Amino acid sequence: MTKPFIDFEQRVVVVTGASGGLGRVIAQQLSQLNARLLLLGRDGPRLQETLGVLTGCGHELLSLDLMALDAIKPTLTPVLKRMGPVYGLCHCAGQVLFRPLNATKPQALNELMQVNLTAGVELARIICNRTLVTADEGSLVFISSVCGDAGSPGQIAYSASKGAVNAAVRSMAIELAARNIKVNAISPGAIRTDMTETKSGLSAQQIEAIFEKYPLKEGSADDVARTAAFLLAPQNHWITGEDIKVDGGYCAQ
Amino acid sequence: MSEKVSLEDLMAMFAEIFEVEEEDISPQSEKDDIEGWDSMGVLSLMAEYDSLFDIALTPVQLESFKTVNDLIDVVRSAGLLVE
Repeated sequence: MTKPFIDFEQRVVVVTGASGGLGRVIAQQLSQLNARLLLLGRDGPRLQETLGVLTGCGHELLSLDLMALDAIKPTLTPVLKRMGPVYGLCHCAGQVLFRPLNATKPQALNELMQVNLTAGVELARIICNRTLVTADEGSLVFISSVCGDAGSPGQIAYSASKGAVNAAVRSMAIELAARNIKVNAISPGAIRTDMTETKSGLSAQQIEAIFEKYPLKEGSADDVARTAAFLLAPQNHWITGEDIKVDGGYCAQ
Repeated sequence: MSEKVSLEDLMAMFAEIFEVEEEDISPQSEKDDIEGWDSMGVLSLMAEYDSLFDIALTPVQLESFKTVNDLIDVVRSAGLLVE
C-alpha cells in the first residue's frame, strides 16, 4: 500500500494567527493532512469560524493575546498537556507596519518586534519544553517575509522583525537538531489576505502595483499553506534552518 | 542585592531549567539521570544563577556537580537559601 506523501497521523500542531488570513488557510491545509490542531488567536468568534472550516476532529481553540507575553505560558501549558505531546508549531501571527523612518518611533518598533519575533520565540520555548513536546521529533515553522531579506521604503520595522525571525530560526534549528526538532521559516511575498487589505494602510491601486512587481504576478495563501505543510510534515526529515521563499520570483530579481 | 530563596522555589527553578515535572526532580536527583542537564541546560543554569543570585558558576564547579544537592549547596553557601 502506497504511503501518503504527507500524513500528520493525528500529531498535534499549534497554529497561531488562526483567526484569519494565512493562519486560517494553513490550519485548513494541515487539518486535511490529518493534523490535530490547537488554534491560537485573539479573536474568539473568528477562531470559531476557522474551526468550522477544518477537516477531521480533535481540534481545539484558545483565545490568546500574544502581546501579553507573561500570560502565554500559564494559559497555553494546561491546554497542551490535555491535548497530548506537541509535535509542531506554525507561527503565523504577526503584524505589519508601513511607516517611513521618521515615523518609526521606538514604541511602534518594539511592539512589532514583540509580536513578530518575541512571541514566536516564546511559543517555541514553551512548546519545545521536554515535558510538552513529542520525544522523538518535532517541527517548527515561522512565517517570515521577503521583507526580511529585501529592503523596501516604509518597511524598516517590519523588515527588522522578519530579519530577526530568520536569524532566530537558524540558531534554533542548530540548537534543536540534537533533539530532532526541525525549525524553518517561510518568506512569502505579498499575499492578498484580510491583513493585507485592511491593516496595511495601502489603497487598492497601491496593492495592485505591488503585485505587478512579482515575476509570476499574484500568488495565493494556498501556495504558502502547501509549503508550510511540507516543511512541517513528519515525512520531511532533513530540511532545517531554511527560509523558503514563496514569492513568485520576487527575491530572485 | 540577591534575595533569599526557599528550597521549594529553588527546586521549581531546576524543574524549569532542566525541563522536567517538579515531581520528577529531587535534591537527590543525579545529573546523569536528567536529560535536560546537558550543555544547553548548563547555560540556562549559569544564566539563572547569575541573574537571581549574582553567582558566577565556574567551569570547574560545573564539571564537579553530580547531583541537584550540589547545586543547592552553592546557593546555601552564599547564604541565600531559606532553611
